[in-house]
Amino acid sequence: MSKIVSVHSFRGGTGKSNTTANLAALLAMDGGRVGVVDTDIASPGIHVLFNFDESEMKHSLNDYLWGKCTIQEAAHDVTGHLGGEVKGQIFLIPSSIKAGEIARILREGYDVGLLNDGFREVVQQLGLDYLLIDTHPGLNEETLLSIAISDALVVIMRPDSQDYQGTAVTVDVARKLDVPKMIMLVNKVPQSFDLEDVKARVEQTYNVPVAAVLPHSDEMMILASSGIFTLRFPDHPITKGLRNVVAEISK
Amino acid sequence: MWWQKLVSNRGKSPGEQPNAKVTEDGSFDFEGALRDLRERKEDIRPSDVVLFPEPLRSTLNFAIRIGEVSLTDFANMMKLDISQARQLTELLVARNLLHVSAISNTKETFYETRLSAMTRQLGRPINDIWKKLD
Repeated sequence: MSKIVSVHSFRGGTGKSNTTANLAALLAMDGGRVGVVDTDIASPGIHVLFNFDESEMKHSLNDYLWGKCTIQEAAHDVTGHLGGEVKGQIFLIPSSIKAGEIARILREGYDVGLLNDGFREVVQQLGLDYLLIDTHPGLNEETLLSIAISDALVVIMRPDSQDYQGTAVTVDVARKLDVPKMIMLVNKVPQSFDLEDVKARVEQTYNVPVAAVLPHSDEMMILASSGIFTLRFPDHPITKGLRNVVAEISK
Repeated sequence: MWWQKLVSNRGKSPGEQPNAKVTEDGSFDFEGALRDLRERKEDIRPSDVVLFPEPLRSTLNFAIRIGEVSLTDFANMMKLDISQARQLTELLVARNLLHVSAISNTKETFYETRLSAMTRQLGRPINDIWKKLD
């Protein structure tokens, strides 16, 4: 049975897109058929992690929302872009990175119900095992809709006071939406911190299981979104942590 | 912001929450919910569902996640009789959260769920910056 998984953080810069792309890669390495939707229409970026060039983008999520194409036509097979051995397949539904198209969607708005229809349709039409939704930070109607229809929610936060407060809001809302499974991931933790202590504190604060506490990594910074970290560094602690998240999602 | 209201109500019992539709004994205020839905002019949005009283919120959450619900299941989850449940679902159809499914028959009514909302209020003045970007 297919699963819809939203990846969310209350604040920007937590590593949502990076995490989403890596989770997709790990799921596909295990043989899964995985869809990835970039719903961060105002500031899209996950396509970069898949080395997906703008010139290859025949259609985008924006086109689907404007009725210019079907959701399947906006889905691009990026499996070959990963540069590693992947048994499954990854389909990316990118958001447009053209300034005028971003401006148009912000100016005119769109019916978030179309996202709902599109998510369900693409899962069915492409026979997906997982649909990962890379959300816009903060809370708005489209993010709420994504969470509302998800089987699992991955909440990402950093050990930062602003993140702590905002994450409480996200967790509250997710509980109000009765998300069947909520998983937390603490990202970009300074190397000097005791990771087990961070895990215990976060779990105690939010009463949500923490699947991974990922240390700050120079390798990740140097990679600079130019590829999928877990494929480049299969034995790195970050990869191991993300495998834990995959295991939780797959349960 | 709607979510600030939600967070400020954290830890309060349903009866203490300003939007809650519960009677004095803590049960679901069916008449109050009907009245609110009748008075409502806009379609139901994702942020509305978060603020609905129990058991309406969890029933709709379930139906939205599955994508469909039958009248009988809706009535059971809401602990209402079929007639009362139908009054509610008809208002939810009018507010475009539920749509009567084509597979409905004389014995059972099935509904498909569809949350909807514009990400931007229509009629808002266009800011010059977007004209420049275009």
